[in-house]
Amino acid sequence: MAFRTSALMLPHQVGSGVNWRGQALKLSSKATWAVRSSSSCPSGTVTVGYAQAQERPSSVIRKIREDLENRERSAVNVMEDYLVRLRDREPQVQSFLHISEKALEEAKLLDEKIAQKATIGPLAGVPIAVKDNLCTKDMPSTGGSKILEGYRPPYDATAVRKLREGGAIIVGKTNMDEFGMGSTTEGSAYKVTANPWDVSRVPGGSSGGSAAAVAARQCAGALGSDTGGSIRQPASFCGVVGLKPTYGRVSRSGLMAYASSLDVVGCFGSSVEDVAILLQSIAGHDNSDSTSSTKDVPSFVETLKPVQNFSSKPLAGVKFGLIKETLEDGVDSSVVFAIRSAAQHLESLGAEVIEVELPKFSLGLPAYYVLAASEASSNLSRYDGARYGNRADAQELIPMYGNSRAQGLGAEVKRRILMGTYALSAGYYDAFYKRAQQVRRIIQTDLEVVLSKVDVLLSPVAPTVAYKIGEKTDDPLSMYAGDLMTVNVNLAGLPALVLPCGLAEGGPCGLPVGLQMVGKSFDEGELLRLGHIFEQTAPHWCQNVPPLVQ
Amino acid sequence: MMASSSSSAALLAHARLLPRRLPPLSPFVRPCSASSASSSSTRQVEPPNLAQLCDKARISLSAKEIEEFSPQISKVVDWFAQLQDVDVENIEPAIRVGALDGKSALRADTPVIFEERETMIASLPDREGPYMRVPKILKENVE
Repeated sequence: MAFRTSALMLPHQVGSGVNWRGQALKLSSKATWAVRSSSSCPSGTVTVGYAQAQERPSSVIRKIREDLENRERSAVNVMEDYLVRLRDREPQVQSFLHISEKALEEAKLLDEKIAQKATIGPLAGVPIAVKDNLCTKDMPSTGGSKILEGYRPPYDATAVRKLREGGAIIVGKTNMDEFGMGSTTEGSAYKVTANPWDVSRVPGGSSGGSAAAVAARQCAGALGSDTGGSIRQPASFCGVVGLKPTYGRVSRSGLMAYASSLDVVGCFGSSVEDVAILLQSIAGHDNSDSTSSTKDVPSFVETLKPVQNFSSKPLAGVKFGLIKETLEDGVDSSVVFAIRSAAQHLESLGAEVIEVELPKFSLGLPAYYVLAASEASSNLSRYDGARYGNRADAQELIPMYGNSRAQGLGAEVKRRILMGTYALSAGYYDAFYKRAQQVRRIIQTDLEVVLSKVDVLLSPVAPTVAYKIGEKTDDPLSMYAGDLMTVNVNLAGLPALVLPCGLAEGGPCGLPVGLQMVGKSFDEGELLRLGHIFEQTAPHWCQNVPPLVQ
Repeated sequence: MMASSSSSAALLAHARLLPRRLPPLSPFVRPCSASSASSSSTRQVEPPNLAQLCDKARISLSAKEIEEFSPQISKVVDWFAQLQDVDVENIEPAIRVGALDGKSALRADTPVIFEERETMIASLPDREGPYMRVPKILKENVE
């Protein structure tokens, strides 16, 4: 892996840089990026905003398949590589709640099939991690909660079943904020996951374990879930690609329900192509989820061309809308700079980028929290100690419920259940729940209108990069505020892709910033196509692997 | 007197249950009677009574937790109140995204055998044969 020390490509000096085709590139921003040396980075002279030059992200899933087909590696070789890395990095990252004991055995079975020249699935031998709120038949599924400690579901979630049918091997279950309620993964009842870019920082959440595991290359890809940003924000914090599909694109059957009108199952990868392959595998209608869509699932992978086939202006005719409200006061300057640089890069590829206004954008946040808490108060009533998980001792039924829930559920989950109970109380329904649904309609309509004028919306994912572990645990409201840029997308059910677009100052080698692309309903194909073009042409400081992996 | 002692004991036991059985007086009484307030008025809402919410949500919080959660939840509920200022006149609530497809939302009403019955039963915290066992639902001496 080449490691350049040239300062030419530093963001603040991009004025003298070149774009992906070697043409002069000019950036108007005067944002300053700190330049400092750090002994923890490989060369000792590396600068922030620039970790190392490396090859463009390419599909590790496709590589595994090619290697298996050409007999360059066996499935056991592939799995052993990943398991060694997984165990090696686990003490620092702590991304897993459970590691499969059968992964190697499954790889051996696959090798036997290959030896017999049997047909193998599109994900054959691919090591995948699964967020712990997705049910797995042969592994514990706790949703990060003590109340489900040791619980083994009797079936696989549909998304998990489909991955397995495609040949994927599940390597383990990843850590998360309890039942998806949190933005740091500190809300897990079991452990705190670290960010592979700086182990003193959070990986984001609630799918923090899945994002950190992909960033630390402990698996080839991962499943997550996104109710208000739980795939996108950790993808941004950990510098990986994350996709929140359209509501209804992927079955929710076997996903532990948090807020059913907002929950979606999605995926993480280290390249856009990997995410496209994973979505291809898990998407589609499911009899077990009445809200899953019967719309055809197009070929997502087919539209991703190799970089050498791009025209000089591969994005000619594409119109992006930069959401003005997400780049205003309160958003870190390094985040704004990275997003504006990304927008300029898209322009250099022939796209038109305009600023769009969504004046009601900030209303989505309280509306989201009313709806999510209300739905949670109902959905989580099932955790009562009667049918599964931990039961508290009590002589009578009602105290048994009360004690089991008091002992088994964590503080944030209790808070949200109580807030939801309040919002749904007789007499307050109109004031909170109904009103939040009316605001949801306003947000849906506003987004629909702007998306009729542009093809894709652009924004940051969060106002900051990854912050320190423990920094925001005391104040729930300040934690909620960080979700402003993601919750509206859930309220409108739209698909969104997050991809790394630069590094801000912090940590031993900089901290990743993610670019959020929001598309039209069921238009994941276009998001993946545009995201792939961005990824394959982006200035190289967008493409980095965390210090832990170097 | 003597003859009725057992029934009065039952009554006493019943009386001890009464406070829990009767719905507590609701603090969630709306100050104004209009079911949909005019859009521009900022309506004051009663702050949450945490002890009563815990009862409704079946979560037995300790006094210390109630003390800790009260200000946090009040702060968030105050913050929710900004929704009261939004003009929502003539806006239809959106229960979900889009509409359910009447055809795909319903599946054929045919029974299927769930193969993992034993695994499911094995996860019960307490069981007796094929039954789930829970603590007493009613006191023995109460009808």
